[in-house]
Amino acid sequence: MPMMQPTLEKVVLEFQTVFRNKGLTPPALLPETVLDGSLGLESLDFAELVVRLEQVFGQDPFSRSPIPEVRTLADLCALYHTAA
Amino acid sequence: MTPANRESRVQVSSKRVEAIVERVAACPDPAFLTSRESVLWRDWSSDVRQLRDENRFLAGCALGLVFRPTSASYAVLAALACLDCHVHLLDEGLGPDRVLSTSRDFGLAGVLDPGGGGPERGLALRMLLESPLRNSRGEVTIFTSGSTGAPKAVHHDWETLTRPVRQGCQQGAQTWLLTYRPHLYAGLQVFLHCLLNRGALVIPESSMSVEAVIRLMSRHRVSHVSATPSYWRRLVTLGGADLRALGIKQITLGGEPCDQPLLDALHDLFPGARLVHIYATSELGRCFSVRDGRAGFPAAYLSCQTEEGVALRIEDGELLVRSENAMLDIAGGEAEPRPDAQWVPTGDLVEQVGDRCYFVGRRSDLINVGGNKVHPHRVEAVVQTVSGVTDTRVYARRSSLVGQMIACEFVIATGLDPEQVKQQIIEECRERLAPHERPRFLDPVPAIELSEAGKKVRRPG
Repeated sequence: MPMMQPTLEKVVLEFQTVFRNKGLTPPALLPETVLDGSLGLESLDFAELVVRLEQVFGQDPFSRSPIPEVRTLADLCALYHTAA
Repeated sequence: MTPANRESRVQVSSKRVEAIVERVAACPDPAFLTSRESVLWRDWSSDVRQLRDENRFLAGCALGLVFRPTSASYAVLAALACLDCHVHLLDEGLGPDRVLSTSRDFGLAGVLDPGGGGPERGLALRMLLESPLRNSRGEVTIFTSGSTGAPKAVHHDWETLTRPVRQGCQQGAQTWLLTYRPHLYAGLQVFLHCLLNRGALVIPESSMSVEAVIRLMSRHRVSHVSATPSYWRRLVTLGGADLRALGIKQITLGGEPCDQPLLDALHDLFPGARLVHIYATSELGRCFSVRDGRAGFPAAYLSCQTEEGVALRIEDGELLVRSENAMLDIAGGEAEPRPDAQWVPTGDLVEQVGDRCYFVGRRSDLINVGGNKVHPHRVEAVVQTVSGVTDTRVYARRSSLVGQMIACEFVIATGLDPEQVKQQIIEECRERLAPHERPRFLDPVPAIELSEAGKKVRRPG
């Protein structure tokens, strides 16, 4: 999916900021990475990420109804990619 | 207070102003010092009497007064007080349309504008009603700045305004710097203090830079400064060394909670100065003051009346006040009984630690992060301890997932790398604050935005 590349890069950058601010070394983030507790992020960290992504993309898919379901990094990127 | 009681109280009111104006009629000391004018009390007193005589046809009317930082504005205010008018103090920044619409909303008989600076007095009067009521008895309505929510019209008389002013408490001429907007309660208190003690009032223009304000202070030898902690922090940050050369004798802080690092910085800059912090609100008037140079106030204030005639207690973490200096009522609101006989919640949250009570923030400032309440002051106190940080503002940022999250603006000392200071703030907060309390969004800014009352703006971003 070459079309998705710019979105993925931007999302990964924001992820890395969240990790670093938490004092963690950012792990490798791939489209198939599952976004669950195993990453070391808590719900507040995801909330921070969503606010950061809103600053980057100018929109917040999580403020819409129904709240989108996100399992992997690719799912998350798709939300911003389709709306971009 | 019974209606009869109130009657006698307000009748005293305008006669009181008249007597005060007479008392300075022969005073050769400076009254108002600005970058454009220098007016003596005796000349001002004569201006007041002339204005009073020229405008007797306005006696007893409810009027708007566009309040400018000039001696003329104060002269018109005093003249109208002598004429038993009900003066509504309007911000000079409102613009003609909003001045008119506000005046019409309040059914005012007319609006006066003393005009900008300059030596010539050009008092403009615009009448709005043909046959206005003349039932005012020397009152003043102040439109509060409303650092949270819409501005409120707060109604005082000259008794409630002058009662908290201390008289003759210090020997020697006092020269005060006016740091508050002149049309708000705190600004009026500083003016009344000067009037009743024949001190001089140095009035900077609202657009002046900190450097220009310090030059003005130095030129007029300011000895007393009353300001919000936010204003002081800005003065200290930008003018530290220049401030040291000023002969400041008294420092008064009010309007916001005062933290220990700022008190210490002021004590260090002005070791000989009296350091006082005051608790007062537009609605409740002056409630108490603290002079020991420590943040918060003695818990002993909870068990006796303060010297301002105010009783305090804490209920559910909030400071409640019973005050004799309270305003009469809130204009335009529901009919409320005078608050002087009852306990009024202040919205200020207080924590008692041993023999000391500390302000931890406003109830309305609490930030709700996923159901956890966070006091912005507590977070600011931590950020403030990072070396290189000179000022900070913590506020709420909306979050679709957890409601609100903590955001923080910070100002750094010149020559430092903002990114490096930001990392230090992040580390400090990670060490000392719970995850929900940590600022997630940190932005370096050149200065913290202040409201027109000189306080930090707390609206969510």
